[in-house]
Amino acid sequence: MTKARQVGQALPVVSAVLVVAGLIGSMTAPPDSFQGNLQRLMYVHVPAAWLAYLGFALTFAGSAGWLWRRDLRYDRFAAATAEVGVFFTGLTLVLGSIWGKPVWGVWWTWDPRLTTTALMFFVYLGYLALRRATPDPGARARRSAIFGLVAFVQVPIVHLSVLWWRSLHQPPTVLRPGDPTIDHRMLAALLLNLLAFTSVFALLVGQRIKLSRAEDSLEDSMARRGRDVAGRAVTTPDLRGATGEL
Amino acid sequence: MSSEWAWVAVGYVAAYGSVAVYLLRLRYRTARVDRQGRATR
Repeated sequence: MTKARQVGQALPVVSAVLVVAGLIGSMTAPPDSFQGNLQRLMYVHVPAAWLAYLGFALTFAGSAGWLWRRDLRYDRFAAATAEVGVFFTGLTLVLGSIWGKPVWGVWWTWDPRLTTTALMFFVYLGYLALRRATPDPGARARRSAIFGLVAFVQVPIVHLSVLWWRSLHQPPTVLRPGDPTIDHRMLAALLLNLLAFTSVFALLVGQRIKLSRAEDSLEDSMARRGRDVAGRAVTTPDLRGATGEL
Repeated sequence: MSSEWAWVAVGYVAAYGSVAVYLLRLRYRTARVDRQGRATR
C-alpha cells in the first residue's frame, strides 16, 4: 500500500477526531469581553475564509502546473480546489452574515471586505461555469488555467481590503505582522479549528478529484461506445418502405 | 439558552451541516458515476 493511499484511508478518522476536538476547544474558550459568546462564531468563520484562500491558491498552483506540464491531473486538481474554494467562500459569506446580524445589526453591508469576498465568489463561480461550458478537455484545461491564474489576484485584495479601505470588518488578527492580537486561549482554539477544517478540506478535495477521475473514465467509455455505434451506422441505409414509393 | 448562544448554534449547524451535506453529495455522485461506468464497460 502506498503512503498516499494510507494517508487517504486515515484522513476521515483524523478529520473526525480533529473536528470534535475543535468543537470542544471553541466551546470551552473564554468569551470575548465585548461580543460575549457571539465571538465563538469566529472559530468557524475564520477557518472557512482561510480555506477559501487556500482553495484558490491551490487552483493557481494547479493552473500553473497544467500550463507548464500539460498534464490533465493538474487540471483536475485545479478544478477540485476551485469548487471546494467556492464552497468555503459561500460558507464564509453565510457565517459572516449570521455573525453580522447580532453584532452589526445587519445581515449585509457594502463593506470593502464583504464586497470583495462576494465578488471573488462570483468570479470563481464563473470559473466553474466556464469549465462546464467547454466540452473539449484540452480547451477546457487551457482556458480555465488562464482564468485560474488571473482570478487569484483577488485573494490578496480581499485579505488586504480591511487595511486599504475604511472598513466595518475587523483588521487581521492572526495573519498580520507582529504578535496576534487575540487571547492565547482563543488563539489555541482557533488554530485547532483551522487544523480541523484544513483536514476536512483535504478530504473534500480528495473526494472531488475521485469524482472527476470517475467522470473522465465514464466519458472515455461513452466515447468509445459512440465510435462503435457510428461505425455500424456508416453502411448503406436500407430505404425500402421508408417513403412508401421506393 | 440566551440569544447569543442561539446565534452560535445557527452558525455551527450551518457550518458543520453544509460540510457534511457537501461531502455526502460528493460521495453519492462518485458512487453513481462509478456504477454508470461499470454498466458502460
